[in-house]
Amino acid sequence: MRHQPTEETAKADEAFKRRNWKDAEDSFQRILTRAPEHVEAYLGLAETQAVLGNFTSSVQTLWQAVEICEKTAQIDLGLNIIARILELKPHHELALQKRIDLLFANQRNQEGVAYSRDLAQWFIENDHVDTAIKLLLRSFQLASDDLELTLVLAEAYLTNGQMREATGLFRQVIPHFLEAQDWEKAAGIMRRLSLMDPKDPRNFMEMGELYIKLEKYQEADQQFRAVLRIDLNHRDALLKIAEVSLLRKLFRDASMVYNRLISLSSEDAEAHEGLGMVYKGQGMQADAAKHLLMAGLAYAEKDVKDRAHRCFAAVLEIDPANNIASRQMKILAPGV
Amino acid sequence: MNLPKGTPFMPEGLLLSASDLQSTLNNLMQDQFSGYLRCDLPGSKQGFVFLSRGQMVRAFELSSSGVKLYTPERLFARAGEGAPSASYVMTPAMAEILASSFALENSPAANWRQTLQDGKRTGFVEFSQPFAGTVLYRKGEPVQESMTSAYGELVCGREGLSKLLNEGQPARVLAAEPAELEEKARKAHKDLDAMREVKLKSVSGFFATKDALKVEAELASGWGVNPKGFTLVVETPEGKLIGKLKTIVGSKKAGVMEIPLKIMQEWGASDDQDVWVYPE
Repeated sequence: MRHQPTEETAKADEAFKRRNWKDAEDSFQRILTRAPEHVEAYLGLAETQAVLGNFTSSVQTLWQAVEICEKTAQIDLGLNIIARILELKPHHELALQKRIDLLFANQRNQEGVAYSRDLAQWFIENDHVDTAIKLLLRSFQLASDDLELTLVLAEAYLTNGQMREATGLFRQVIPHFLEAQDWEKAAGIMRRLSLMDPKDPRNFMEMGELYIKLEKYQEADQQFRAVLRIDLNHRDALLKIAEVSLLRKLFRDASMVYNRLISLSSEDAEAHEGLGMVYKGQGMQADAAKHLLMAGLAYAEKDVKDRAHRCFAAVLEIDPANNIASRQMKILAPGV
Repeated sequence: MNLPKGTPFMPEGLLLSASDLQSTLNNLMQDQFSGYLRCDLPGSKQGFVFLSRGQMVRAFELSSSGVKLYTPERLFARAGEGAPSASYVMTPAMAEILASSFALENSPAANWRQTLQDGKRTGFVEFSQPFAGTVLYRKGEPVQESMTSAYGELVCGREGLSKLLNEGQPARVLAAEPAELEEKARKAHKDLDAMREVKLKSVSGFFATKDALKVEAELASGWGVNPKGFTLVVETPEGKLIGKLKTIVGSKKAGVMEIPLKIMQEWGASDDQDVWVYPE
């Protein structure tokens, strides 16, 4: 980074030109004693120190120039000098932090957040997790909708053993990735969640749902079955296993699952409806009508009128003379 | 052979004298600097001094005819009153790899990645596409760094590396096996450490030795060679070979090497000429 010669630096520049490096260094230093805010003199001094091979002093001089730039509100120049420091010493922590400070102070939040994210990642990799969290929280207050930032913060919490905070943030971003149809990213986070808390069925259920969306039915089936390892009679998981079996055209498996649900609760409307539809598809009309009728009655009992109506209509399609279904349809009719 | 540049530290191309270069080097060493100092020498030659954490790793001269190792002092002596110079910053690992470039060999560009990885080779690969840059390899692995995408021409960020390694076509691949590099470096440094400066003194007459050089006994004992006869390499201070000849002990004057007049004439040398010598 070359300095811009000024009237004040003329003598120092002359010494530099004559290759009297030591004189040039002294001369720049004298200018700074007289005018401690002369940024170009700092840059000239740093340049001369570089020629002399004084690496540490040169970087220190550049840092002093940054402080002057901040004090005199020469932000762009300050950022350029920081960039030069980081070219020479990419891990100069003060410069890395100061760059973020200057960007935020000047409402350049997007850049500030991006640099905070990178720096936090580096802090995490180097076991300075508390510093990373502090840095990220500051950015998070300014850009709580930045998904990547949220993810880095969640990772930081996770590394720090703050599981509740990490889980909360991971859960916060999943719907956004789903909405953006970034399935892979969503699946990645869900996988992390299920690893973090293998006893929470919700993680496996969400993963299963996502795999259904992705039409990866076998993987979906595995996720729902993972719930059964936590709770053998988990109703929602069993229903989903049956649903996936139907999607995979494994009708026998589906009917077995529905039967199991019915054995757990004989008034399970969804299980009866599902089983009835399986039988109907297989041409077992009498069994189909029986289960659809039971489903309809169970729905009616719970006042889920549209579903009840749907089941009774299906019964009447199979057996138009079914009295119970006809009567129930009449009762439901006004409300449906 | 050009060497890739790191991040320029001092302004490139400033004229530095031999004493400037020496003092710059001393300061860089004191400041634990990693990188290299380069000076353009007469005759389209380039001098390089590599530093890793302030330790001088190697100094050599690069020319169209090849590479020759020197001590920094001898290299800088050739800069005279001023040679265009530059210094470049990089990581210690990068400086050490480039310092070994004196012993690297051109590798075929076909299957370069596999060759480097499988052979666990050290060296560098230059690319011009999709962007210009050089990737350094250490023991079969590309050198990667955090918080920066590159040191000058040396690409080391994750993204840039991935692009070059997956999409780039190398313009030049220079590599060698680490064991081979160590052996070459060991041999080269042994020669360098053994180098001594002496003055030539011609001898002639009936009793003078006709077919051998004579050096002080202390010199030969320091080299650990057979004092009754060994081959000595004689070079100019600039590193140019003057000749090689059988040598025995016998010179009585400190810092003086006796040389038969006829051989001195054949070599185009002269009395009182300063030369550098080391056993072959």
